[in-house]
Amino acid sequence: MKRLTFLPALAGLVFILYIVLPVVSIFLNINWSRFGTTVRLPVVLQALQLSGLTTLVATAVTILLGTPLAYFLARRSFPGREVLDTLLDLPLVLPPAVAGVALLMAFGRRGLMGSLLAGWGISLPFTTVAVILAQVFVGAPFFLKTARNGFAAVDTSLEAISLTLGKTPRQTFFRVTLPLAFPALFNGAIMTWARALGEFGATIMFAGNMPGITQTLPLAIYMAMDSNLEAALVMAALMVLVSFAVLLAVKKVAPGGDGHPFP
Amino acid sequence: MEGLPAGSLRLSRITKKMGEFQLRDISLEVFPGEYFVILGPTGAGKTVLLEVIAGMHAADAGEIWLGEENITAWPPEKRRFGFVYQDYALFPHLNARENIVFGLKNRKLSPGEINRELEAVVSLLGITHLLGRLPYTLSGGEQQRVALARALVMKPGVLLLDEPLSALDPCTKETLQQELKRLHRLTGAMIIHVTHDFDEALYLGDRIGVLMGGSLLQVGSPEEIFTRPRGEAVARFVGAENIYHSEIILHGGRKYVSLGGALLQVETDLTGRAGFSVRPEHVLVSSSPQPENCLPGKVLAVYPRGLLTRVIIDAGERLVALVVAREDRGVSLVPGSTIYSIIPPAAINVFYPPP
Repeated sequence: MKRLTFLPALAGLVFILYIVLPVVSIFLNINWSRFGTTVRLPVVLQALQLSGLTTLVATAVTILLGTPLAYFLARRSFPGREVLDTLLDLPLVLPPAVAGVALLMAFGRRGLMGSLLAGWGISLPFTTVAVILAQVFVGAPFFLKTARNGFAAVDTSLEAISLTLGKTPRQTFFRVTLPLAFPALFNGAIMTWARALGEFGATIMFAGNMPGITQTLPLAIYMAMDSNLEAALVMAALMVLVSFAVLLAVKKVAPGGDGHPFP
Repeated sequence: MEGLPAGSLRLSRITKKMGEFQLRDISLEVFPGEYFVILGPTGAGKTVLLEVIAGMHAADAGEIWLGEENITAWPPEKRRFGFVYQDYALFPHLNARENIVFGLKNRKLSPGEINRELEAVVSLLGITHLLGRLPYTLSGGEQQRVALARALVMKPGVLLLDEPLSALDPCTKETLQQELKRLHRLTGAMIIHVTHDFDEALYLGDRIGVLMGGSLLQVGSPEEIFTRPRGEAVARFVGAENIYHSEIILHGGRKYVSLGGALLQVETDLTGRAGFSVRPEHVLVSSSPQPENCLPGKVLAVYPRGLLTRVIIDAGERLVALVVAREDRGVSLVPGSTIYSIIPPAAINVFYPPP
C-alpha cells in the first residue's frame, strides 16, 4: 500500500512546488533594504493608487447593476434565458484582446456608442473611465454567476412566508433573501475585484498605458520590466500579498459561498 | 386572542394550473373558528391550493372571499394568512425569537408590546427556553412549535398548515396533534390543515374535504367521509376496501344490490346503476348461514394483526373482513373453510359511479 500512496503524494508535492516556487522567487529577488524607497517611486505610487481606485469603482458598479439582474436570472424563467445566461458568461472565456477590440468598436470614436457620445463631446477611450469599463467587462461575469447561484439557493418558501407575515416584496428581499445570499454575493464581488485588479489586455488596448491616468499595476509592472526591474518586483510582491490576504479572508468570511452559511 | 375572522373564507370555482398540478373548479366555504382538513394523496394539489389561498399564486380563474371582502387580487402581504410549511421554513439566519417577532416589527408596536405578544405566544407553545437558538439546532418538533408561534403571533384571520406533522416521528407527531387541537380551542382561529394522513384528519377535523387529482371530491364531517364516501376514489382512499358495482334492484318495496350472486339489502335513495363500498371492519363472519344480508364464501387467506384478524374471503367476489380475533363465533378461520359473511344494510355505502 505504501507505494500506492507515495506516487500521488509526490505528484502533489511537485505541483505545490510548481505554484509556490515562482511566487517565492519574486520575494527572494527583492532588495529589501531599498524596499521603502522603491515603493515610494512615483510610477509605483501612481499605479497603486489608480488600481485601487479603478478596481473599487468597477466592483461597486458591478454590484449595483448586477445584483438585480442576478436575482432576476435566479428567480424568473423566460424564453431565451439560456442564451442570455451564456451571453453574460462570454467575457469569462474571451481573450482580453478580443474584449479590448470589442470595447473599442463599441465606445471608440467611431463606435456604436462612441460616436453618439462624441456628439456630446465625450470621448471614453484612453481615460480612467475606460480602465473601469474594461475591468467591469471582464470582471462582472464572476459576480453575476456567483450571485445568481446564491440567490437560486435561497428557498423560495422562505420568501413566501415573509410575505404572509406582512413584509412587502422589497422588505422580504432585504430581510430574507439578501442576508441568506450574502456569502455568495460577497464571494462573487471579491472574485470580480480580483479579476479587475489583474486586468491587462483589454485595458492596454482600450485605455492605453498612461502613467497616473490609465497605467494600472499590471501595466506598470509590464513597463517596469524593461526600465526598473526592482520596481516591477516590488509591485508584483504587493499584488501577491494583497491577493493572498483577500483570498484567505474570503475563506474565513464566506465559507462555501453557496448561500448556505447555516447547516 | 383577538383578531378573529369576521366572516367565512369562501373559494368560488378556483382553477389553477401549475406544472404537473392542476386545481379544477374548487368551491369551498370554511367558517370562522372551524378546523378544516383537506385530505388527499401526494400529488393531489393540496399545497398549491393552500398557496393559492395564502395569495402566493394567483388563481387562473375563480374568486376568493373573506367575509364580505373579495380578496382574489390581494397579495399575500395584504391577506396575512398564517402559513406553516411541512419543513417549517424557519429563517435560518435568525434565532427562534427573531423568527417569531419577524412579522410584528411591521406593525409599529413598542418594544414592550412586542415583548408582551412574544411572551404570550411563547408560553402558549412552551418554547420559552428555545428563544436564543438558531433553527438548525432545533429538533423537528421544536422547529414546528417555533413556526406555529411565528404564524400565531400575527393573529391571522386564517391559519394554513401544510402537512405540519408529516416530517415528525410518531411520538412527537401525536403530541403536536394534541397541541394543535388545544391551540385551536384556545385561539378560536380558522385553521385549514392539509394532510395525506386519514387518522390525522379524523382526529383534528371539524370537517374534511377530500382533494384528489386537483378536484374537491367530497366535503363532510369525519364520520360522513369515513362511512359514506361519495365515490370509488374517496372510498378507496379512506380505506373502504370492498368496492363493487351493481344495479339497484327494487323488490317488495326494498332496494337491493347484488354481490357475488347474492342480494344484499341497502338503504339508499339512489336508483339504477351504482357503486357501493363496505369497510372491512363492518363485515361480520359466522359459521352458519344467517337470514339477512348473508353471503356464503370460502376463506382464501388469514392475516392475524394482534387483536384484529384480516380475512380474505371468496364470496363470488373478493371480500375483505377485519374481525376481532376472539369474537369469531366459532368460525374456523382457516384457508379453504366455508364462511358466512354478514353485511348489515347500514354498513353498505351506495354511490353513483363516475359518469
